[in-house]
Amino acid sequence: MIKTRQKQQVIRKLLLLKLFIYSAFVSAGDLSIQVNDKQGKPIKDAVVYIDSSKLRGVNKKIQQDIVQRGKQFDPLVTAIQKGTSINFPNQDKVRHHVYSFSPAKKFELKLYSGVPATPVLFDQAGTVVLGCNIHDRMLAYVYIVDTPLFAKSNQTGLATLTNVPNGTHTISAWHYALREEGVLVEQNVDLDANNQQLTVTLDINPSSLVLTK
Amino acid sequence: MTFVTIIIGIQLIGLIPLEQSINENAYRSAEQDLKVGEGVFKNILEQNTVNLKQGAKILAADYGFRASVASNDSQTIISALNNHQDRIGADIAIFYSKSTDDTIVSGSLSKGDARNALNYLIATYDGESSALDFEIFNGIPYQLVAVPVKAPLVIGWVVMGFKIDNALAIKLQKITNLQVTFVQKSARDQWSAAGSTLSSQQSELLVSSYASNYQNNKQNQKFEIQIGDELYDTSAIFLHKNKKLIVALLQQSLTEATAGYTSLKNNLIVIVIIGLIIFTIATIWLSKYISAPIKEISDTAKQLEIGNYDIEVKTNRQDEIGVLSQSINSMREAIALREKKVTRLAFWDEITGLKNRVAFADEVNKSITAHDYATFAVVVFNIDRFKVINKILGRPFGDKVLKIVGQKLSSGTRKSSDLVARIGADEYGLLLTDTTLEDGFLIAKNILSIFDQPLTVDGQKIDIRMSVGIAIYPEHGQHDEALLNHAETALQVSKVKKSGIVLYDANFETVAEANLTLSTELKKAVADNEFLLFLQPKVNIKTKAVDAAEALIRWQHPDRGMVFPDQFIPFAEEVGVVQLITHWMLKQACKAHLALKNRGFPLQIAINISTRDLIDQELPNIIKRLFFEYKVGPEAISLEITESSVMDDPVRSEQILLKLAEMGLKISIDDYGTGYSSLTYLKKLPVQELKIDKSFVLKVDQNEHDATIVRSTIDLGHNLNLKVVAEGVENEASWQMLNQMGCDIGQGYFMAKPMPVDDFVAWHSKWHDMSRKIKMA
Repeated sequence: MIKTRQKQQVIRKLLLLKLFIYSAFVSAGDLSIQVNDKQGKPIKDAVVYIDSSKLRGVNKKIQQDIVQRGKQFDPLVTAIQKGTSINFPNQDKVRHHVYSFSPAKKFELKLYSGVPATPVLFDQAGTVVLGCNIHDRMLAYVYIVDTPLFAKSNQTGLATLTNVPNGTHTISAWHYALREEGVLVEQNVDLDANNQQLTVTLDINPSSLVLTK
Repeated sequence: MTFVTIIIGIQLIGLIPLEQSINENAYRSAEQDLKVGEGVFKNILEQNTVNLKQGAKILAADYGFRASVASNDSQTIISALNNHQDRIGADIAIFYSKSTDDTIVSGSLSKGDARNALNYLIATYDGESSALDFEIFNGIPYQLVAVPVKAPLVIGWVVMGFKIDNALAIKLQKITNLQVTFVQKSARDQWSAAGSTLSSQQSELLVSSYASNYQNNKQNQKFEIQIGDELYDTSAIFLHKNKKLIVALLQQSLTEATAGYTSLKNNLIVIVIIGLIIFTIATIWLSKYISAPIKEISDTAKQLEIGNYDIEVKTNRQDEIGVLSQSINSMREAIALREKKVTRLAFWDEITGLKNRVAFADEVNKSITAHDYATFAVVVFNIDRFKVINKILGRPFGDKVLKIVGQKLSSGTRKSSDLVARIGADEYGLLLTDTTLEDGFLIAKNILSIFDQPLTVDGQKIDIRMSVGIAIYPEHGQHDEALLNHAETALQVSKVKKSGIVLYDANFETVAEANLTLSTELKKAVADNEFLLFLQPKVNIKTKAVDAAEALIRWQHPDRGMVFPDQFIPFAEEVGVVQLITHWMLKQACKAHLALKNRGFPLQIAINISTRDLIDQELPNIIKRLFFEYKVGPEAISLEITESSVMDDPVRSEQILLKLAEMGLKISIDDYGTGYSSLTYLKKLPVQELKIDKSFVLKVDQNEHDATIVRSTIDLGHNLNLKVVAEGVENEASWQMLNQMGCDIGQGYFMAKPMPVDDFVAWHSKWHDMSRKIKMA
């Protein structure tokens, strides 16, 4: 179902993008997106991205790490472009059994310590929830997008998209603690030299927030 | 027994707090048991929950299970569910997949019901490891535990459930020792028991009681429920957190809890009863051994108090009670003896053994009040001159006389109801019951005749003469005192008149009254000089000369005229006026002597001296003073005494007589022959003259017997060197006879009647002529 909806959105977005295609390539700049909750508080670990067919396939980063440290995954949220591999180095003295039952990527790394022999390749866009079979409390999210234009909000809720061409864009935002789980927040933005800032408001369920150090 | 009752009462009262305390203890203990049981029950339920949770959690955490959930492999999910359900012995198992929104059920449960329960469980899940609930499915309550399936986010729920039924109740009872009943409320608001350790009948009762009384309670609560015979302390625990549909009733039987105490109480009651029996026996023994004898002693003392001395305190004990009993006994005997003596003294005369005056009066009274005799006689006897007997023959002899007289009197009575009593020193009372005046008089006369014969006392014969007075009931008195007094009045009359038996006459009273006035009149007569001195010449029979005269008194009463001495002298003696009269006589005698001496007749005048005078120490002095006053000597007067006058106080009389004799006074024994004619006195007393009583002389010329007495008396006198005077010479024959007998002096009507002093000279010349005519023998 999610797939179908995403497809429809993508089609719609493609139609929109056609209208602005030229202007988009006139010039490019950084887009700063402030992510707040409804109360205006900055939200970290939110993933924002601009899905653009033109930019698909350009993978800036091929490999990334999700470290297990102090019986926790670090970072909590990892945003990657499709086709990125993730390594799960275990810095704890205990062993971990990292698994995912998420449809975007099912895998398990059975009881290991140190760095597993092979990184896990995430070749499908979607959300993957990571857990440890040994330690039920361990939790991490991998958000896989099919675009190079994506960023994760920092402590102050600021996410910066670089090399965004001028023009009108649809900005999508995701957060693991959204009240409406799995429903993207989308917002159109006219990007030019004078307007390189955007504020996105998310409806966050505070009780779902994971407190990290 | 009162004591025993009190003890029983105290014991019974003591049982009340005991009972209370036992009940309180039992209840507290039951409550405690219930409280502990409740805690245990909750613990077990929790344990059950933990077990359930563990089971559910193990399943939820199973990687394979999660993998099959993630892959929506419903067949695998069901088999895993069944497997776990069996493993932990759960009655139902449910899985709900979040991603597919599908519910998988293992056990007899509809999906709809399962979904409802799930919704509730998920809604109440607080983020901890599990959610707990109690639900009723198909009329059966279940304990449910829901555990989320995480990967690591919640992807579904596993629910495990246990039936709440008899098995659970029994299991809980085994651990808590309480009766456990689960009650539930059905959809139609019907309460029923889901499981119970009670019998079905009992549980039904419990459910209906709970439903009707307590179902509306908002909280867990304790209460007591009566089921059949047993009372239960009951604690209701709501199993359902929000819905009060399933309640666990934990019960501790109070009846059972008190059972132990009841046996303790029964033991106590038995002990109390045994104690009481022992106490009662001890009390009875004690009362028998101590109280009873003391009561007996006390009763005896009360009997003694009312004068009953017949009750003996029986005991042969040696202890204090025995000693006390014996003391009481000896006291009783001593008191009885003493009272007998006192009574005897009070009512009996010691000397004669007869009843005394008090007893006699009492009997007289009884004759009136108790016996109700129509008539009876009270006779009073008095021994004449008893004092003389006592004086001469001695008191012990006198007592014997009294005793014998008493016996003689008693022998004269006719029947047992007649009574003889000694009512005075020499006086006896005779009560003749149911006797008429005539009979009384006759009986008295018969008795008196007994004393015609002299009594023999100590081998000595003694002549007893009696004066007798009679009073008859009811004519002479209506009560004892009057009858006795009147009989005694009659007796006095008899004594004075020497007339034997005298019947009471109301006129005697006037005599007595007259006596009373006589006393004052006598004193007045002495003061007013109403007396006259008469002289009767004492003539020498041989020479016919007149050398002496006897002074005789006459009373010239202003109203009654001339009164003779025998009418007032005995009375004067009695009332003590006689001394005044004697003194008057002595004085007048002196005067008369002087007067006649002056006319040539120096007569020695003889004065009668009474008993009272003879004990008067002053008498010699009085005479001395008179001699001094009238310048006369012992030639002027002589004294005449009677034998009896000496008897009253012989010692003193003798002393006084000796004094008088020393003064040279001549003393004569008067009335010789009527008294005791005791030779001892004649010998002992300073007497110079013997006067033969006129009763012997009056008919000496006719009566040989009298002549013999007179002659022998004259001889006796002469032999004792005494002059002999014959009184009552009334004719010449007597004179001649006396002359022949050698009598010294004569006195009598033949020579002269008593005459006033002034008449003496005239008489003397007459006598002179007359005496010449008497033939000389």
